[in-house]
Amino acid sequence: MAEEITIKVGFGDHFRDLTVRLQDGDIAPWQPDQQLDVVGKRLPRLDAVAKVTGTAKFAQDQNPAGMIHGRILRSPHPNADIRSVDLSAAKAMPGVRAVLTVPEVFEDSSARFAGAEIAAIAADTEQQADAAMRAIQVEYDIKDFCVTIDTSMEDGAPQVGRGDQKNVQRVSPRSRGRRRGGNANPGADQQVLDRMAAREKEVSALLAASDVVVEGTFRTQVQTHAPFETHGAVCSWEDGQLVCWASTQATFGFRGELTSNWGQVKASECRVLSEYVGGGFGSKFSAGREGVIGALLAKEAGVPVKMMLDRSGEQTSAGNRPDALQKMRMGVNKDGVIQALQIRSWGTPGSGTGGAGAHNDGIYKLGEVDKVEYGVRTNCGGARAHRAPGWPQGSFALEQMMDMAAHSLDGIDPIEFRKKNDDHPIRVAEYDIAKERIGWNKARVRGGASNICTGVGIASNLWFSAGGGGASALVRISKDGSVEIRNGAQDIGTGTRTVMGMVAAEELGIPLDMVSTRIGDTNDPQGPMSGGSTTIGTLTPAARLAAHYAKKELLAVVADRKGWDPTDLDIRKARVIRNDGSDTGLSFHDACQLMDDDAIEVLKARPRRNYAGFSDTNAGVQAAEVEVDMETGVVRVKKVVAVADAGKLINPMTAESQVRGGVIQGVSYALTERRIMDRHKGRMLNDDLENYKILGSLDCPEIDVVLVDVYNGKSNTQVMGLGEPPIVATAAAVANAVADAIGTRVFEIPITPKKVLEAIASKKAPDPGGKKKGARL
Amino acid sequence: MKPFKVAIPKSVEQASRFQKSDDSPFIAGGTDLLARIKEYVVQPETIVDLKRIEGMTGITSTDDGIRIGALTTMNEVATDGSVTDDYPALSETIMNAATPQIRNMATIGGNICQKPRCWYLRHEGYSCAKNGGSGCWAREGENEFHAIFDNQVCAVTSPSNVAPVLVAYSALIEIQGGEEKREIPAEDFFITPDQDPGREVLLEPGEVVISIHLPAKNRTKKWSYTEAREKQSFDWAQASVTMLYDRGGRKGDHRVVLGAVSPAPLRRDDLEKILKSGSLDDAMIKKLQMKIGDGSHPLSQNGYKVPMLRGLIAQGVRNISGRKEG
Repeated sequence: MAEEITIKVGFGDHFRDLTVRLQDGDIAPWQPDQQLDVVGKRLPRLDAVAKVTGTAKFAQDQNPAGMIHGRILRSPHPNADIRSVDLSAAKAMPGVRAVLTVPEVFEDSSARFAGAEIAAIAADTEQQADAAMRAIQVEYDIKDFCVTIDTSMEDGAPQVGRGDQKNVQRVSPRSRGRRRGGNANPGADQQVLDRMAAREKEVSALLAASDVVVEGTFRTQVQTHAPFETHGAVCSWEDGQLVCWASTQATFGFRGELTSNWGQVKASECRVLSEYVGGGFGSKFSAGREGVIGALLAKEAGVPVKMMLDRSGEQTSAGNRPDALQKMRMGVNKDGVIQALQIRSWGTPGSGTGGAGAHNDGIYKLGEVDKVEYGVRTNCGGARAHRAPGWPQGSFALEQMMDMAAHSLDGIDPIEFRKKNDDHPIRVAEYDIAKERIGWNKARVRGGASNICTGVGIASNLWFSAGGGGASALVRISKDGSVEIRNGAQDIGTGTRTVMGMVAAEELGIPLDMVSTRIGDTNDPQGPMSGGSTTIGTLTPAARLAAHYAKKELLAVVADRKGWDPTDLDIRKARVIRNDGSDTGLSFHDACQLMDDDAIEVLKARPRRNYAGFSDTNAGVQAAEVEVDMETGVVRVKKVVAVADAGKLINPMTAESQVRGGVIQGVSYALTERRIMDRHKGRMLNDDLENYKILGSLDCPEIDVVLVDVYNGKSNTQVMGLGEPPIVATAAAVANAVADAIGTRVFEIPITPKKVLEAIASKKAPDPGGKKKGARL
Repeated sequence: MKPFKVAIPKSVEQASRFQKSDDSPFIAGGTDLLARIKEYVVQPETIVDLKRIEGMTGITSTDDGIRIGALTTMNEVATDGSVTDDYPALSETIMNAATPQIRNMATIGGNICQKPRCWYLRHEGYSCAKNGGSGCWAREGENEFHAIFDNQVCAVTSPSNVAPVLVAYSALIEIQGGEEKREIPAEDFFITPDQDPGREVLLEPGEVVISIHLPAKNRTKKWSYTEAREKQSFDWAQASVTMLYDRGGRKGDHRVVLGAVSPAPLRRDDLEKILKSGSLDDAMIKKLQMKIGDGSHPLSQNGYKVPMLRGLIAQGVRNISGRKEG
């Protein structure tokens, strides 16, 4: 059955042959010499006009007849146990139709951050719901709290968790036999501790033997996701069926939580709709408490309930990127080869410990690595996956270490130093593109008459996401010549809908505007969650297969009715053609008219496994140019060159958008965003979008996106993900550029005017490199 | 938000009558008050909408300068020819503030009467000297953006970008309560918590700012407005320096007013005196920089504002010495 073929994989001047054993029914990837009509073209996203004119309906915009409004009461205390919740006064308030308490529904009586859910209510109007929510009486046992990583790590700090949970817990290397959420099994842990000790000894010896050792301590902050559209859903029970219009990154995951985890309803009786999503960035994979609450309130009220979070609830309870405290020691030999790296990192993902790690040990050849990571519990809202979870933190520290090492090796250029320690087949070519386009070697301004200093910095990234199994697509060609492709997954703003349509159009041989695309509905074929940058890598091979076999069926009808050889027929530019390229005289529309049936319907699943391909990872390099006002400490990022690759590019325009978004969010992370917790009451003080500072339009740099098209051969569309990789390197590149500009380093983001002024003031002596053109710290 | 009534007076006299107490605040553009109502920071029974009162918008020339109606939007002020010609620092500071959307809604009267942006003051559940309680959460708390001058009672900063510029131009704030009218110099209009922790401006209940009078005498100065902040789009100044430089030089009547570093715009006559002492050179900059932190009491997280002010005043001097007379 399995057909063996030879394909070309690679990019630019770097192609090689690869033999691939096609899995059952799969088709060959597009080849570099193949003429494509739709794929690879810059096409505006299909929903662009709907979005900018406001006709696109997000979950927040759904207002089904009879709908009422839900509200969640949140704990004002950062660390408390709920003694009782008295709903009687609230129930008696005007308009109230449904109430619930969190201790009853979720069997959780602890409030371990200010903002934790306590109770919920639904009432006819928003004002009634607000008033009733404020009438709920709660008795708390209030405990001492820690809201920063430093206070939680102090001896004698108040306990954040419950039971025997310690504030600081090792999360990597993991101990076998560790109970979920609890502490390690002492016996099994000893083996891990022994291995860690041996590793530490080995790496310490390598560091001692290295020609140069550089050390640094780095801090990154908590970053909230802050999507425009908050979390939540509009939930409605109709004849025993639950319909949720959800703001989600996983329509099927949202349904799964309501059905499997909470057992409210069978999957066959639950429909999740999400045609448009106002951003997620990793925080919207599950229904969340707000989704479950919405469904329960709607059931009790007997009418649809809109249960969307307000901005404060969003900022405090709907996830964040944990902070990180990283200490590193790197040993390098005079030839520029890294020998060893020791890393100790701490991060706080709120009252749990999951997701505390800072990732950085796959980008370069780092020699022997001794890395231990700790999760630190704090009485703050819990972490959720945030665009490349762990990677921007790890990159921020590692890339500065790379520059510091290059500097200590007496003038090795930071890019040359990276190349020396990097063997990624794609990235090696990308350095030169970034170097040329940022103007790496041009003279930079160093004080003098001006208060402005400029600098450049570089950093790298990688990602690993060709998608996987779990997606099917339905292609329907109707007798009237209309075509639709359906998949139930969501488009969180990345252009998934457009790209799915383009792949189908290419395969069917018709233009994109002849294909109707239907997404975001769990009544349609299953599709992936939008996580790990896997959406189109997972989805498009299914779309292409369904289109391919639908076209085959159509051509079989044509061949049968016309008495032609079906293997001599194809469709291109909406015409039925022969293999020699000649036109049969039949249009796509005419061909459809030949059907006996109303439609051809093909449902195809994607192969579960990917092929070996050219590279398991995508690469990427970013270079930043900054201007620093040495007198006020204000940093402006003038330009970011973002060289990115994502396998075969289906739509360079939507791909570029992804890269731009990653860079903007990365600059925002580098310069302005941070969560501010009050030491007095343990609350988030900037739980809004005024004091939680997200980069504005005037702050955005010029972004020069360079896309490298890679035929990686991993699937029939060869797509790799691009949502996450572009944010990994940005803050690191900016930090390196700031160090280049000011002659000293800011070891902590966000790099605010305050920190720049403090760094300049603590600079002991004038930077000797300042006199040399292009010298760097 | 809690439901409230809206009173719509047709005259200032009526507005004064409608405002019986702090429970019925005035609203103009609404860019400050509505946000505080939505967050339950204030829960008024009634708000008094000034927008229907006639004669309070627009900019008119007077015998002695210009008069800006209090309901004139920030954008209208910033783009008015008489402002850009004769009071360019005012135009400059407005164009730095907020966003185009807010500048189109917010009024200049509302801007100078807005409540401070202190995150404790704007959070339900923190009672302090400013809202009927006592003490200041910021002094021993999260105070990165708070005041370094006059911060012993309360560490808010004056939120108005416009206020220090009005002080520099010797503006007069015209106020009416009932049928009584009075004019207060801007320098006296903005008050500090040690004068009265409950108020930021010298308005008695029922009093409305009806116009701002900018006298002619300051309009031919060399000027500079410099500020620093983390974001260029929609952010609050961390520090600002407004300077007017009289062509009279040594005998001149100069102005140096600091913004965003104290609860009220901070006029610095000690720095103005230094400006009289010589030419605008590096030595002058050094002298100003040495002096500008005098009297400050930085808190745990805002000591950076002193070097930031040093940077801004250096840039101010360079702006003035490199600029033709306005």
